[in-house]
Amino acid sequence: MDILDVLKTNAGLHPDKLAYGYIGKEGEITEQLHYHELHQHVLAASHLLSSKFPVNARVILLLPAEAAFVCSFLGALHAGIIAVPTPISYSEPGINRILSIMRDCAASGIITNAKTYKMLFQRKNDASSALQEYDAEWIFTDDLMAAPAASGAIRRHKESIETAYLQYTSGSTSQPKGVMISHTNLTANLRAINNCFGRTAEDTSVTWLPHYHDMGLVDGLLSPLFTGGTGFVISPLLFITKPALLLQTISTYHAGFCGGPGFGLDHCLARIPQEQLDALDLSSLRVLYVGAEPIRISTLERFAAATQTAGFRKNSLVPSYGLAEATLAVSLHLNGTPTTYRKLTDSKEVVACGPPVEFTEVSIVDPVSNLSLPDGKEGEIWVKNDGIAAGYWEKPDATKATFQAYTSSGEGPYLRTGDLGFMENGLLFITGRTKELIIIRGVNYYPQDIEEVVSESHPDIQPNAAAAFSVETDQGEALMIVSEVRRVAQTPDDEKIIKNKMAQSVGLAFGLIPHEIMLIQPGKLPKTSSGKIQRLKARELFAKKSIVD
Amino acid sequence: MSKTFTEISGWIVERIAHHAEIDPSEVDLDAEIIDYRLDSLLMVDITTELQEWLGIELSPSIFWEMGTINATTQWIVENQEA
Repeated sequence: MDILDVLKTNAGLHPDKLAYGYIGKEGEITEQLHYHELHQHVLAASHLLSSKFPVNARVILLLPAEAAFVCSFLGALHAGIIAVPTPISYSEPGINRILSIMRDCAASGIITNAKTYKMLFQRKNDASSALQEYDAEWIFTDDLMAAPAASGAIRRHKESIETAYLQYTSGSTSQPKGVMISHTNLTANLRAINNCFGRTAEDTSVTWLPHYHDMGLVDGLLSPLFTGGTGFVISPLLFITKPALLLQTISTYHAGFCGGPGFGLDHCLARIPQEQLDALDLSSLRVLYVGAEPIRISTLERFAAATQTAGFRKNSLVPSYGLAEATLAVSLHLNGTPTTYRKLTDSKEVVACGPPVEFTEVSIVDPVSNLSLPDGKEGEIWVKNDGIAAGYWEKPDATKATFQAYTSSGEGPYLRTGDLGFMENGLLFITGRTKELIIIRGVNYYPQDIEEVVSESHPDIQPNAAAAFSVETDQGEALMIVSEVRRVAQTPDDEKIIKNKMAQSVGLAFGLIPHEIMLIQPGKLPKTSSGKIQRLKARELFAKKSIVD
Repeated sequence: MSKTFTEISGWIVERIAHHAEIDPSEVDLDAEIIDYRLDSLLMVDITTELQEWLGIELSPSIFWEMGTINATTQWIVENQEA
């Protein structure tokens, strides 16, 4: 039973049940999809898409959080087309990111809506011209949603281990990597998550997560459908501007399941007055999972304390660990049981992200010697289960390095996560990462991408001599940039201009404001003998300094 | 109903001053908006409010794309009919 079989069954069992409701600015429901209706839309979309694209064609989904997305996504899967959910952005760097994904997977079509299309081409620049000239067929959701009924649309055959959709790991501009998720992967992970959570057809879930990320797509959108329940969807932008809508929706519809990065919880507390929190009823929440970025214990504690009056139970907090390469979840805390904290040093304490999900093997391995490590020892987290993807789209070398790792004693193949942690009493603790990835508000950024933008932001910046890395702040992980400048700026004003240019370029490209920028003399950035930037060393050298200053 | 340059720039100045916790007279139309060091979440808020106030769709990154209040306002004035 994959997600499409489940949809068909549920459409037959309870045709008039609400599958998805979309929440508007005032908390009203703006769109609804009932099970039968959803199934019919999927069949009609599949029929139309089948007439335009061959099996395994890659089609980009450039859509906001609305009913048309899930209909198009499932319609594409039904037609055997490889769906590629892609973030919408209208800025030049944003459009370039869309293009780099399209080129990487040689996309032959784009599904979007009229509004997005208009915004993409509103301003003429090199990126929008390149997008216009790209040889792809544009499909509009107005046509897809109005496609003639095709109750008998035939599901085009594909093996369940073939790629159903590509999950691009976010942020990667220079080298986008599309994780190939099959129905086998998706079904295994959806089953693992929902068996662990205990989510049933009686349950209601709420999501505000972007559907082009693994968490937003797999759990946010597909889990409610997979379990035959109801999912309410709030767009990420709406959540950012009005976080109270999320908790209000949970309260109104007695939702049992919700989740996201810890920043979402912090954001709720920062924006919602205590009296408003107290007036909510969050007692229905059985799972509020927290993941996608390092989990801060203070976030969990503060949220639990602030929502206690609203009836939220602290043991509904579910620290979780996962990654797109594993479809989504690797380990989940068991809801209803207290969380476990472990003190590592006087200043560092970590929370257990539960035991590995069902049928999953987690090994802690020395990342240099590939030697398996015993309980309690910190090493790289290696994972084996049916949720692990086959690899990255047309990247055999990267696939081999990441998805086909063997321990020194020959066990494998494992997925190398690049994250560091340890197992203790069957629980997985995350402590850091070997990869130089930057994770801010649940979004992954590749330092190379940021450094490239930094290098081009001002003529005085030394080429190939910037390091982007994350630093810990009171608000969680934040971006720090250290860059060499050709002439050391003469006056504080010159320095300010350069820093502003940098911040502006990074803001435009990534929607991210650097927490701290440091300009240094040429030759001061640590590099290897072959000229590779040593980011972790740069962090060691400069991040500490900035605290003293 | 189209809004004038002064109305739009005045609105943006007021919102930026409010969030940056400074007096509107300290907000310079030609300064880089990034100078005010507003959190990216606040910039999303301001853009969303601006869209609602104008009744038109804007790119979420419009302030970064345009750089200054003057440039942003100019762009809106030229495009608000579209």
